[in-house]
Amino acid sequence: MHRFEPAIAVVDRWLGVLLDAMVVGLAGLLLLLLNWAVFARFILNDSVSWGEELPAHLLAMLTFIGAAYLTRTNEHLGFDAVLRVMPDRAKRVVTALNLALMGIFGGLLAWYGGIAAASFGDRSLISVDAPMMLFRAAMPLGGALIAMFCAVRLVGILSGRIDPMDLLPESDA
Amino acid sequence: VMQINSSLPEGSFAHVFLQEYESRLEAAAPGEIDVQIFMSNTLGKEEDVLQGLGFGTHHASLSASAVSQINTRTSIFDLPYLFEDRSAVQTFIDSPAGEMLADGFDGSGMVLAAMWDNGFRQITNNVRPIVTPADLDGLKIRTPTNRQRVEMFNTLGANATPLSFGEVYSALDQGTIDGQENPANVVDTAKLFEVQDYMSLSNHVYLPTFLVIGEPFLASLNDELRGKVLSVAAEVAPWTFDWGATTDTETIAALSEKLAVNEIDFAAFQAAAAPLYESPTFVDVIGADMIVATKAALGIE
Amino acid sequence: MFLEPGWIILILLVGLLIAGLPIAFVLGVTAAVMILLDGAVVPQIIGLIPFGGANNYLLVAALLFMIAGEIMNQGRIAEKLIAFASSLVGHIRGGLAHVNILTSLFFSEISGTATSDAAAIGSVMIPQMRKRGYPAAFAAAVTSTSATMAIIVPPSLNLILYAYVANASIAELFAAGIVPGFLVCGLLMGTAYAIAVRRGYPTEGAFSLRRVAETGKDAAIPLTLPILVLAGILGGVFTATEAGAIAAFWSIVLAMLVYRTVRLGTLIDTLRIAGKRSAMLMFIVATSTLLGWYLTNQRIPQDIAQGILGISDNYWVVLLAINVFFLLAGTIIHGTPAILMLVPIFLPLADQLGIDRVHFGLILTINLGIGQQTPPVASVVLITCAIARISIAKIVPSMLMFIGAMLVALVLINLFPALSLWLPSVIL
Ligand code: NA
Ligand code: NA
Repeated sequence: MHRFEPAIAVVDRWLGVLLDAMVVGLAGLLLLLLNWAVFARFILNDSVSWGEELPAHLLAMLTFIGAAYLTRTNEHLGFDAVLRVMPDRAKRVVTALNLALMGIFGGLLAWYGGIAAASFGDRSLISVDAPMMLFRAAMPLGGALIAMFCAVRLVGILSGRIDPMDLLPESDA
Repeated sequence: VMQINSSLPEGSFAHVFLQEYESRLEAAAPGEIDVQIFMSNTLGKEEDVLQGLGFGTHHASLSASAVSQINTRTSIFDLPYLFEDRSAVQTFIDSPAGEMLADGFDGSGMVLAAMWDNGFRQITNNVRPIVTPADLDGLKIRTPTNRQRVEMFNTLGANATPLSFGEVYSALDQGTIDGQENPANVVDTAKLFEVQDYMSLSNHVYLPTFLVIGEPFLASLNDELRGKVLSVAAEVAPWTFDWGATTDTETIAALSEKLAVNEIDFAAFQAAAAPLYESPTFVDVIGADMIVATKAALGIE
Repeated sequence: MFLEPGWIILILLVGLLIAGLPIAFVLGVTAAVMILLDGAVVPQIIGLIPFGGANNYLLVAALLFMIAGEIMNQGRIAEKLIAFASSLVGHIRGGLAHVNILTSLFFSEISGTATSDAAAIGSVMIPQMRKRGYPAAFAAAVTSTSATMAIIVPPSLNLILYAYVANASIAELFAAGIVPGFLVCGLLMGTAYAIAVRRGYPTEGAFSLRRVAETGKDAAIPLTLPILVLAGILGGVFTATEAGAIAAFWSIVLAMLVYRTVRLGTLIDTLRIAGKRSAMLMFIVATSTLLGWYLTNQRIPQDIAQGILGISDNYWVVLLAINVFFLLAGTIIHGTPAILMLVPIFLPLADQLGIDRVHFGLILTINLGIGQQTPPVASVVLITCAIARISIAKIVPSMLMFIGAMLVALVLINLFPALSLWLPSVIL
């Protein structure tokens, strides 16, 4: 990351801390909630009202926030055996194309996801008073972050400041 | 092409009615429209499908209680002991109250094309036949995740336990819960009679299915075809109520060989449930005006 | 000439996969391209369906079992299971190989993924096996192939995912995995025995009931976990998600309070690892749901099923073709995307042939289990090789016999549906 402009590097670092806190927090929250639900149902003999709906929505938040996290740390699962053995020039071109596609897809999630989230207005979940938009916002947020991370990287690749090998997904071949 | 989504499974009332609608509409507008039916939410979660009607990503949906998120007036069907039989339901649909219910969809991106039969809900359990409200005392009855239904059973003295439908069979088998409430058809198809001893014909709630059609889809049709799409839906409705009544009678007769079936004291339950008509859980959601209009339409004072 | 949508999708999927685009994006970009090009489809669908795919209660279980498995891993629970397995089978020729395989069977009742199985057992067993004179390649091959039991024996993330896609019962699938799991265990131990006799591998001392009792006492505590989970799910007392919560809670109690092998800092690391893995899985679920929506909307799975039935409608011919396809697919794609992409396409076919959905799930899982063992995509082998510090090329010859044993298991399970369906019919 040290090759980025200082301002971008600072923002990037803070985003990293924030995303990490959100992923750990959401995983921990789900662990607590599900244990509480089991405890309430079997020990207190009084089922929780939010049963399945709330955990499912939190998992959806974890999905899109986590997807942005994994984009930042290059940890999405992929098949890179062919990319690894390409000549340097081809590797740079293909990596740039991949980043462009990822960024565009992130942008689509952000744009259409934002419209969808807004359309839920002030409705709340059925089982608990929590605004739907809060959960739905995770997709446009994650998509926008993915688009941003990819755009910065794309500039780095095209200007030669990032080595394509540094951006390969988790090695698997 | 008209794609209709439904959360209900193949072989349900909803599936039968949609097939009838398909054949009647395709006969009314030969070569102009191809109706495609997608059961069991194969085109997306119901929440997303209903939202998609306004965007035009989905054309139509045959939904049950999920529409209460869009139009809270439909929660009128959660008021217990409101309808005594199917003709009362049809009276309601054709009354000003029915119109008021349909108007509740204004601004949601969809129109209500028709309400079709779905059956009265009955209580089954493993402890005793339910005849009077006192018989419900302390029983753990599974309900859907629905605040009104939970309050209703708790008010009647039962212990309402919201649980997803997929777990009902094994929870009854295990004795985690004592009973559940669903239309007779569901007791039959989900084989709940295997793990239940008593079915009480409580008719406590009547819940129809709502055929809602997206405005962008309707706008894409020419006037004549749009008229047919809507009018055929309305024409199928009386047929669904007749079919539903006949099938219900047959199903209950067949079920009575497999578990003990009994009638309930409807008036006693109506009296016990009276406080619910004043409860904020119901009134604030449905709207006092809707309740008044419905009572007037049904001749309840 | 215009191509059929099905062919465009196939070309996009394969092309983008080879180009090294992450799998979640391969699926999402392919779906987006098809949706944006199709004039009859409203693009706003991109804003609805992926969220619906991720908004899933059943798959919260995956996160919770990942937390449980990772805590067990960090808490060095595997060592207690190894000691117990050693007392049971250490006296057989090739003792440590059998210990390795039997421990995998025990551990697979705790973990839901083959990679966590291989990591936990391999890091202890491979060094021990090398000390006792077993070649590194053999030790790694045994560890890697036996880790497959993790996804066959319940709990299994693959089966949870399959249950979601195929709308099948988790309890039935879990019960159906038990006999095939033992079958694979037996065949792998038989193979190890044959190799051990020929190469003269050592044994680990005589059998002693006293040692079984002593090590069994230590192993009893961790083994309460799978018993609790299995009994709960099979008995219908709790859902897979609730079972995952209990498994995670119980493993945290064991590791932090009973054994004191895990501290708070490690717990947070575990939440991070499991949270990221879960997001990786779920983002693939989300984008594959979008592609699946397009396929359903265009009725492509039904067309493919009809196309295949048009070539042959013989039960065994089609079943053989499905197996070969799954095996090949498993060598180039991971279990998660494979299930999400292939099940919706092949399930209509299985339904038409009258193949039971539970049986079909087991066939699929074992195929994908073998796929995890074969390069180019071989996540489990990769982890084992990293622990054994050898290259994939060196391990392949040692793996052939074991993969052969798994193929025998696959054939038997295909031929005799009772191997998977008998147990659920008896206990459920
Ligand atoms: Na397992
Ligand atoms: Na492979």
